[in-house]
Amino acid sequence: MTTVERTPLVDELLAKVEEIRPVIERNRDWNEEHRRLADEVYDAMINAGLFRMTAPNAFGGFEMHPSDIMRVYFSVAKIDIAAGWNLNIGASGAHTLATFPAAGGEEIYATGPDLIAAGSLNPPAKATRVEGGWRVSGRLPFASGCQRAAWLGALCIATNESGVERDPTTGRPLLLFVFMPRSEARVIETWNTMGMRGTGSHDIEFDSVFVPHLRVRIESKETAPAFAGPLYRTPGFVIIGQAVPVLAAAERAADELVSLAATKVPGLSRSKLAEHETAQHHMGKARTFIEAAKSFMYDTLNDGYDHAAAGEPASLALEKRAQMAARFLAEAGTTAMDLVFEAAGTTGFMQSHGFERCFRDVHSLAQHTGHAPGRYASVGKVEFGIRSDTPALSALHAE
Amino acid sequence: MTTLERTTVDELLDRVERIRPIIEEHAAWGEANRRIAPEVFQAVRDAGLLRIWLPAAFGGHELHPAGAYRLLERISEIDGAVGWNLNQHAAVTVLATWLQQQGLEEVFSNPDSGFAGVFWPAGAAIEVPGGFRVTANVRFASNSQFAEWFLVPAIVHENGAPRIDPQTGGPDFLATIIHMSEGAIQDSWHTMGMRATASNDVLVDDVFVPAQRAVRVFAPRETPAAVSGPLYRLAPWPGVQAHATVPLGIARAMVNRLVNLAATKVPNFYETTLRDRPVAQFQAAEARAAVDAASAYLASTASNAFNALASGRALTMDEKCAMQLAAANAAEATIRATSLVHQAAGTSGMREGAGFEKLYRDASSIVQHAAVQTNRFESAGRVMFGLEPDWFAFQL
Repeated sequence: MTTVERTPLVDELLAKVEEIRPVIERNRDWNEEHRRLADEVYDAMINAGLFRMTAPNAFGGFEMHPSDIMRVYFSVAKIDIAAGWNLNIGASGAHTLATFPAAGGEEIYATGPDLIAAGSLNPPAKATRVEGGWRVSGRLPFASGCQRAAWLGALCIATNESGVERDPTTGRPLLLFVFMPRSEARVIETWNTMGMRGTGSHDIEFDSVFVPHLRVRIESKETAPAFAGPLYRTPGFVIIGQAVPVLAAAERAADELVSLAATKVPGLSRSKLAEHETAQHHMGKARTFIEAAKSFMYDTLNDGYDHAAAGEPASLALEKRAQMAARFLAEAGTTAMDLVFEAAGTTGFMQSHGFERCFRDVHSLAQHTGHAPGRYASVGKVEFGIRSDTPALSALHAE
Repeated sequence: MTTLERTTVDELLDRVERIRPIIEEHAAWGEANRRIAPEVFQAVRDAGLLRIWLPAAFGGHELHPAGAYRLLERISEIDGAVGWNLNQHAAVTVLATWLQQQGLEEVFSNPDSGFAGVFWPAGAAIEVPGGFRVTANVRFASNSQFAEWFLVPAIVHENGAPRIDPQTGGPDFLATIIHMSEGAIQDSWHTMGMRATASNDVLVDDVFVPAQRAVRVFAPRETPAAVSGPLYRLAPWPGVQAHATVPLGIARAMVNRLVNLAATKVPNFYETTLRDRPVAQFQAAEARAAVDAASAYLASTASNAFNALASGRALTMDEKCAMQLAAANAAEATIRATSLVHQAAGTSGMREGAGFEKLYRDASSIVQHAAVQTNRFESAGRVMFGLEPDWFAFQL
């Protein structure tokens, strides 16, 4: 590892996050109640420049080091996990666009570098070929931030009169990723969940929407020139970013345990929680898991970024490590959260304290497919020389 | 366990099945209103379930603890809040058997009366002619909305300071039983899980308690014949362990739901159902093993202790320790099992209405109860190392 990584820019942005902290904090309950992220929070994050972190220099973005971007994601998510998650999802449109036709990125970034994207992958919508592009129809769940995003992305499966269209070389169904303006789709409010309530991850539905070729990606790994920088080729950037809020919320809960332990005298006890050795053990172990996961994350991203910057092609070893890091962030986050929750005792489940929301959020986001427990088996498949089941890992499988 | 008792448990299990539709029908109402629907409590009462640990001499079932655990676990599997409130009621009926004959006759005059109350933290009592005046802020008072009788712990104060009981050398600790109507129920129960238990605070302000409804818990006392059975000599352990049946019932419900889900759910990015995935198979199996093992451990430690008392000898510290370990282990097994199921369910684990998230919130909340929580492993560990116990159940 490691090159230049912590630039003055990230310190500036972290300072801006502190400036907008009051805005984020005062909307936490509103987000939770309305099951979406408040526009005021989006506006504050845009004005702070946070959505430009992933945007290419060529379009006026900051195109920052991935580790620095994670630092900012983390600090926002620790204040409010919904804000951190929606920032991350909104800004990761850049990585999807990287392999689109060059004109697609140019169109979508034409209004400036503060792109807010939303979208979903599963189940894929249906696409049919028409003059100049495709027509797409479908309904997809989990489109976080869809009520605010400027552009909606959707995975589609190509269909024709005889059913599913197949790639002539691989024989597999032909998959496309498309972007459409938000106005082309309807939002169906389905987001009733245990946690992550403020993210507005509702269903989106669209019917026979025309998408020109420039906003369609068909199994391409070609990178558009504006996206030639190492940020867009750093293994695991997206899946690691999606796991960061799990850890951030766990750290928030751990900090709250520090405060609680100083004052709470547990029932049947005469001494403060801080003096209980079991609570000390839980605290120490939680902190250790959080710090270990951060180290693993930064090390993995720095390493991957350096390889990309050196012009090296993607490798199974680095992609595998990135998948491990993403899963471990979630594992460490849930482990730390459970330890903190247990140490907090009955205070843990009272709505008068913050632990219960962190618990619900952590255990909801930890189910995301990018870092769910099943990803251990994805890594294990690679270890055993079997074709794995994630797009990044299966693409690099050597027969 | 005798054949007769098994029959009683089986009969009561049948009655639970008969009221299952009423419980299920009102579960969502209970969650939304943060209390159990009156119709459900009435059905539980009509099924005779409030009598499970009432002395036979007063028309109760006086069930073997292991039989009662089966029953409580089954009800909790249907609805954790209903199981919890019944378990709280039943545990308090066992503690109420510490009263002397007159007090017993008063509080058990109607065998279908509801009981609520806690053992800790203690309020303050002042000795007055004919009894005590008690003041307390009772927290976590589950079942108080339906109870007729309310157990309030209190330490006797003299001149503003706790009185030391010369018999025990410790604080003069009373269990008092008041009419529920003499306490003021607060609206304080805002929680992540177990919302329908309405475990609100209850304010008790200078209430007179006649001496027959008060007992010095840690002092030696006479045992009236009506409450001399092994169940009551086992007190407070049946109540302590019964707390563990609720998380186990909830965990069992989650495992069962996973089995149903696995048959139909095709996880994102997969082409086969969940049940075809070996990791899910492993998770479901490990979860069920954890729950079944914990349930068996609970029953066997209670049976051992019950048999010891039935044979006429007192309990050893090891037997008490085993009962506490089994209770704490049940919470640990619940955490393990519910976490495995929640993971296996994927995003179905977090969607409202998909059947898992409420159970997961409930289980994660209830395992924090003092009777089963991690700190009780510490308490048992102290006993294993021969140190002074820090948990009241070891001190009785």
